[in-house]
Amino acid sequence: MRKINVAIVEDMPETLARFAAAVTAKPKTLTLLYTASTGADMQQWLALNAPDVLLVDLGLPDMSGIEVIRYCRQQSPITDIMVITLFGDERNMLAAFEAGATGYLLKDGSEKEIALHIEQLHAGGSPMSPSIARQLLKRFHPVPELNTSSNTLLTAREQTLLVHLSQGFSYQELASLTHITVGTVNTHIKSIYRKLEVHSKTEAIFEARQLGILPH
Amino acid sequence: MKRVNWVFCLISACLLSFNVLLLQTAWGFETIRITSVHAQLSPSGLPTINTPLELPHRWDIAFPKTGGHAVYTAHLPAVKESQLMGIFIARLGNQATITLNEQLIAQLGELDAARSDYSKLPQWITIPSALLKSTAGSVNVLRIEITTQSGRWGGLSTIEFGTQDKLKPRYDSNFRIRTVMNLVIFLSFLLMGGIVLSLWLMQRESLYLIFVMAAGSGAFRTADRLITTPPLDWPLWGILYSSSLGVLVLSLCAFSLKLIGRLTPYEKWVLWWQAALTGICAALSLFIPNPALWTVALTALMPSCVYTLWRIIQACRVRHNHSAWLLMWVFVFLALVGFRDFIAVRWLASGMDTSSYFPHAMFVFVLVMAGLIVNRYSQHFQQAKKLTEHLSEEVRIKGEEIKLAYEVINEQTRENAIMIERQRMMSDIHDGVGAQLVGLVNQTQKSAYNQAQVREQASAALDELRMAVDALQPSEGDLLLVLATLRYRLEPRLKACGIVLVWQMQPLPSLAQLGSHQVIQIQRIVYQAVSNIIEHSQATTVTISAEIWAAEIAISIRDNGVGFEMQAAHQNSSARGIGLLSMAHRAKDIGATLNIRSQAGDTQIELVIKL
Repeated sequence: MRKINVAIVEDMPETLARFAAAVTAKPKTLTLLYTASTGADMQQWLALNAPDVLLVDLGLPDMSGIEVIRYCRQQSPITDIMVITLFGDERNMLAAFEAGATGYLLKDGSEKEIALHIEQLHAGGSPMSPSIARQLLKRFHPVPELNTSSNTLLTAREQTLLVHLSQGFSYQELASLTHITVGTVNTHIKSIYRKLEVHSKTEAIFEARQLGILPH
Repeated sequence: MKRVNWVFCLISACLLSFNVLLLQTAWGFETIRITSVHAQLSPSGLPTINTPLELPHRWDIAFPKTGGHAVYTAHLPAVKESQLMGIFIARLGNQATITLNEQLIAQLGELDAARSDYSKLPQWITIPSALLKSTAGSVNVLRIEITTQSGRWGGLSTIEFGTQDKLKPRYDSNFRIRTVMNLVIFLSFLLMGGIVLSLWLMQRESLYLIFVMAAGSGAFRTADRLITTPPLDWPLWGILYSSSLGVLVLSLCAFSLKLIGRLTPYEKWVLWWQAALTGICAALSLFIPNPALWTVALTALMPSCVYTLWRIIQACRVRHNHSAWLLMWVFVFLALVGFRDFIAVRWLASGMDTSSYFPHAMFVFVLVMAGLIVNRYSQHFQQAKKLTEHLSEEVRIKGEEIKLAYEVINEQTRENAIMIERQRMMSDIHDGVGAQLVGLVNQTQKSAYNQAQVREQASAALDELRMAVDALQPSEGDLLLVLATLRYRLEPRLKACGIVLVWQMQPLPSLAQLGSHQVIQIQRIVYQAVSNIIEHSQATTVTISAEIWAAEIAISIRDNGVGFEMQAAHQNSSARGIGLLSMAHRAKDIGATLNIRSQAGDTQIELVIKL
């Protein structure tokens, strides 16, 4: 099996070192391609390279990590983007998902956990905390005026999954509650993240039209 | 305000010039005037006198204290004239029968029927040509028989005889002076009085009422000049008529005094009594009858007028007061006219052809009064407007002050809330993470510390920190989200210990009282319970459930571990005992109750929160 190519952008040297160590500690499955401590460096590198997984810290010194995520989505749509976060449910996490991130890594996780999560994300697994699920439910609250196509609205199944997630049920419990496999749960979650990205773009277009920036 | 005054002056000027115009047309006509008559005078209770007389003859001068009966006989020359002839008599009365060559040509009321008074209006009598003798040397005998009442301006003016073409216009103009002009004045009085009366009804200011009294008595007096047969009998009507003059003069005084300053109670008292006195004098002068009494009453009005004038002059001197100056000039004008009338009519008594100017002068005064009222009204209006502006400004300023004060209070409240929240966060961090870190430091200070214990303590500190941060996230009253987040934190630890977590959650209603302090306390209780299970129970399964009953939410943490003796756990100061104590303490802190029951294989800790 091909190894997973990883790039990291993180300004805190200790955190960067720990994450780099976690990746290099599993040479059989993971390869560390590039590390950067500024958004500009990473964007420059991304212009020419396409990693399988990009780890992004949101609080970079020169720009918001969200800009790096957006840039990466444009340059390399196949890259899975993970946000490096302390708790996994900060306010701006939602903005990161809207920009195109599909997972996150806890800063204080052990090296083993970090490597495992990278592998899981690449294999199609996507974590989601109850608080994020709750925020997504609110975010997808239907807006009647919005002429949304079906791919920006949640399906009934996705809606149910989000509700249960916000009530603290685990992926395994979700799977047995809704009679699907854990893998399917993961697929749904990833689909929700993608929809969030599209949804936010549709909304931006809608707002631009309302403001008269774009023609109807 | 100024404009209103100008308009008013213009109207007054028009009315006055109209009057003057009417007066002017009465002059400059040539007619056959008869000034000598033979008279047979019979005053009541006195012997009849037969005498030649020069006209005009005023009964009240000849017999001041009595009415009576008179026959005037005049000789008109023979006329050979194809035109229609007539007689114009400016004044005769009070009742009369007129014959020419013993043929009745005019009947003015019934003789001795005192109610009617034909002296108020001029008379024009057309003479049928058939009655007039035309033979040269013959005479036409005109016989005028009158009855008259004392003090009523009875008698006979000069008689004018001529063709209708020449004489009728003279009559017409005289009639106009005495009717049309009076009608105009009457209507003006009525109009002004009506307007000011409605003002008084709205504002109840006594000045307006005084004006209404003046205008009312003026209207009454003018109306009298227009009707030959009043609704009341003589002398009752006469008393009213005379008294109204007193009322008019005194209300003018009262008005002036009030306008320039304040009408003192004493002045008011004097004015009322004088009005009453005038009425009594008028009554007596007509009943007794003696015109001298009426003269006394009129003279008695003088002091009030003089006093008022004095006060007006004072007001003029004290301050620059336009109203006072205007009043002064009008008063002087009125005094002059009054003086002229007093001399000409009362004392000189030039007789039946003289008119009194005073009523017209009164009209001028009433006009000025109306003007002053308009002025005063507009001043009040301006003042009210200014006051309103001032008040709205005050209200605006007060509003801004209140707004400012509100903002200050708001800011203080906000700062206070922030301070309280900050203190709470500090104590949460201190009691939670702080305590764990202190424990951690203690562990490492032991000579031979257990690595597993240190790791446990460190991860507990991290969990505390996470809970503190989670508690700061807005929970929006969602207890389920709070528990879910806690599970999200605990799950890896449980998994590591091989404990299966069963999650049984019902949808819960929103909890209004769920603040960050409540959240962290609930989290800590559940966390403590789970920690105890991990550390002491050797359980394989933990069931965490949330249920809602009528008015309570019950969060239960149940395990299948070894359990513990309640008594023993509370008494000994083991970590577990301290854990249970602090859980109970925290439950109490947020107003919830903690129920614990334990036996081997089934231990349940239940937190009950009242809705």
